[in-house]
Parts: sequence; structure tokens; C-alpha cells
Amino acid sequence: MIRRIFPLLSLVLLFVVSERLLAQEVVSTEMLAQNVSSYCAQNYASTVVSPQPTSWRYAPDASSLENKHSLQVGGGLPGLTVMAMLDMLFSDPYYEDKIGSSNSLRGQLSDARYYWTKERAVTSLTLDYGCRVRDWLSLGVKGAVGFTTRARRHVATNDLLYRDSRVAASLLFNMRFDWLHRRSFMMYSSFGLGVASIFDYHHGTIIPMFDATYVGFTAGRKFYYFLELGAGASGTFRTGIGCRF
Amino acid sequence: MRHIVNLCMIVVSLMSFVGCAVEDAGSRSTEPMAKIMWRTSKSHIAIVSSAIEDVVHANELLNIADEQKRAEYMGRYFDGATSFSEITNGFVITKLMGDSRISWVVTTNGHAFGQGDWTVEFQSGNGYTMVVRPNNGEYRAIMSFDYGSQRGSSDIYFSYSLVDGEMLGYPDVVSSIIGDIKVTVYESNASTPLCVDTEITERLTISEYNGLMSGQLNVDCIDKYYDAHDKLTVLIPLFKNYIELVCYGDSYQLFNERKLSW
Repeated sequence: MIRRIFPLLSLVLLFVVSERLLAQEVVSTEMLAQNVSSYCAQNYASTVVSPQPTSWRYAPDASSLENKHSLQVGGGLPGLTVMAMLDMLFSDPYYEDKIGSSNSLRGQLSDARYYWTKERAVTSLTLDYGCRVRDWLSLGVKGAVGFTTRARRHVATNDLLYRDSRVAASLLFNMRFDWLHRRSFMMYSSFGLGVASIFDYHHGTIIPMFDATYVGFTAGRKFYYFLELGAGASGTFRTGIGCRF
Repeated sequence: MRHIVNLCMIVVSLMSFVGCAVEDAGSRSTEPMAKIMWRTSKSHIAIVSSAIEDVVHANELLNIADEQKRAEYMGRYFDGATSFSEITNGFVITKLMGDSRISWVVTTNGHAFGQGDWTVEFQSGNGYTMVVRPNNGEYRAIMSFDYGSQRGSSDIYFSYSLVDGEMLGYPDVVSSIIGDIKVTVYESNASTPLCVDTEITERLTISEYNGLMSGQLNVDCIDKYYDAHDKLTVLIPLFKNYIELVCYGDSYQLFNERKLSW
């Protein structure tokens, strides 16, 4: 229970911290110019020319654009797409053949003699490379992998009969649209298309795959943290760390 | 403050790497296995016990010369769904079991019970065949069956005594059965032409009385596919409304199993 709640609490904390970072950016250059002008007028009215307020217009913060490449690694909490991919092999008739029909005596005994341990899954680990080709556009490659594992054990002795593991790996061409720049904060959306391979020790299949980030933001400059909300191969809620170089 | 923020960010990032349980595990209990083994064994014992009981009663019936007493015995020991008819060198017992009517054909070969072999057949060639032969005061019943997906044999010894029904309130035969029943269940998978064997061996030490059993049943179940060997002990107390299943040291009680309508 704690393991499930803790990530959510952490996400809330991350939002709070992000709000603080945003609040610091509200002090604009225009306000600074006005304050300096007032101070100069009071103390150096005869000798110093008052600075003129600059006409502010939106422009990307250069500090977030000075690095062309980015590399980030992260993880995602369960997403429907990844779970659906991993579930594809659950319904594989091979497993029913292997243990026999549940109507047969051997099938019934097998089901009664062995039990499945709790299934554990890491739904998404991601590695994302991006190369900035415009101020607002990055192109890159994203890799995502999710896996699940469970064991078949004897009910009395707890001896391991076999372990059942499945992997879903995706490779995607990714386009990222940066639509808000600040000195240490950035917001973006992205979309990727590619393929996913789902396999275990005797099965494998390749299917088309997508990944979409509805909204994501980074906090930090050269090294940064990111948090995303999306769908697809990377999961629903993604977070991680990255660097620009 | 900055370090705290950084630490929080790192924790958030690391949390996403932690695996999460996504499906509840199955239960770890030997109870279903014990019940399956008992349920399967029960039918084998039922066949053997029923055959012995019917043959014993039929033998007594043959020894009654008086027509009126014979009819009375029929009414007491065979229910209304059972008929009895004599044939050359034997007799036929016809019973209604469930929705089907089955017949045991008993061939005495002119011997009195206990003086020579009796052969009991049910659906000869694709059913059950039992040879009952005398054995130093008790009886040896060698039975083989090939029925559906189940093939097997039993080699059991039994003795019986007639009980005065008016004394105990239950007119019946009390039989004691000691022996082994070995059954091989052949099953093939439809999609994979694989024939597998599940051997079930039951060692009986039971008494049967008017359909009530007491004693102990040891069941060995060998699954050749998984090379698994499971053991079950069934304790059947007399005049109790439950049986006790002991599987891998775990004990389970099944209630309302006293009236074992074999």
C-alpha cells in the first residue's frame, strides 16, 4: 500500500516545488527596470541617466536553448497500453495446452498442486535522446521497456516449478514540441511512432506502437528532472532525470 | 532547501523504477488438491464396494429356498430400483444408478459362494470384471476395469457378516475390505496429441455398513507429466458426519460426507 501511495505523494510534492520555481520567475525584467529607475532618480538624479524600461516580448530563455542535445532516463507508472501488451501473452493458448484442460483430472490436479505467486511488473523504463533542430522542435529516439514476472510454485513445498517472465520493448521515433521556456523550467508535448516487441522465452511478436506526452515539464538547467503525463509505450505518469549537452 | 528539493526530485525519479504488484496471487493451500484426489478415489471405491455388496446379497438370496422369505429379503436388501433374475450358471442383478440402468452378470459356474471362483461382469469388454475366489476363510476380489479414460485394477480381500437388522435397526451386511485399487487415468489433449497418465493408488482399510463407511484410505497420486507424487490420507470415522482429509500435513474436514451413497 505504501509503495503505491508514495509515488503519488512524491508527484504532488514535485508539483508544489514546481510552483515555487514558477513563482520566482514572476519578477520580470520590466519590474526590475522600474525599481532601478526609481532608485537612481532619488540618489543620482543629476549625474546618471535613468535606464529606460525595456520593451518586453516573449523570447525563449537562452540558457535552456544553449545545449542542442538531451538525454534522459526515467520510468512510468502503469499505463493501459503497456499492460495490454503484457497481457497479450496471458491469453496465449500455449499455456492452456501446457497445463492441460482444466476439465481433465491432470489439469485440475495441476491447478490445485501449483499456484501462481504474486505478479510483479515494471511497466516502463525509458531512455530518450533528443536533438534540437528548432527552438521549439526536437527530434530523437525513445526506447521503452516493461516487463512482468511471476512464478509457479508447489502449494505444499513451495518448490519452484518454473518462472514466467514477459517483456515488452518499444523503439520509437519521437518529436518533441517545446512550448514554454524559462531559465530553469520548460514545458512541452511530444509524440512518437515506432514498433514494440513482446516476447518471453519461447514467443515473440512485433506490433506498431505509439507514445504521446500530453504535457511534460522539466526543472533544472544542464541536469534536470522531468515529469510527464501521457499515454503509450512509456506509461501514463512518467518521471526521471536527464541532462543537456 | 536546495538540497532538500534535489533529494525529493531524486526520490520521485527512483520511485518510478520500483516494480509494483499488479495481480493478486493464487492461494497456497493443499485443500483443493486433497478434495480432487478424494473425489476421484471415491468413485473407484464405490464401484468395488457396490459390486461386493451386491454379490454377497445375491448369494444370500440364492440360498433362500422359500419364495416368501426370498421376496422379503429382496425387499429388505435390494431397493425398489434393483431387480434380480437367475440365469444358467448364475444370475443377473440390475440396478438403476442415476439415469442409467446397469446390470451385473454373476457367473457361479455351479459353485456355491466360497467354494469356487465367481465371475462378475459389468458391460463385458468395456466395463468391469471381478473374480471372487475363496481365500482361507475370506474372499479375494481381483477386479479390472477399462471404462472411458480410466483403466485400472484392484486386488482386495474382504470378509462379511450378516447383521440382524432388528438388533441394530439397520438390516445389512457388514463388510471389511483391505487392499489396493490402482487406477490409471489416460487423458489426451485435443490440441496437442499428448497422452498423459495420472496414476491413483488407493490402499483401503475400511468397513462398510449399510452404505456407511469407516476406516482409512491412503491415496497416492502420481502425475507422470510433472513427475509429481502427492499423498492423501482420508480418515472416515464411523457415525460421524464428516471425513478428514490429510494432505502434506494439512488437515481438512469435509462435512455431510457420512452418507456415502455408493
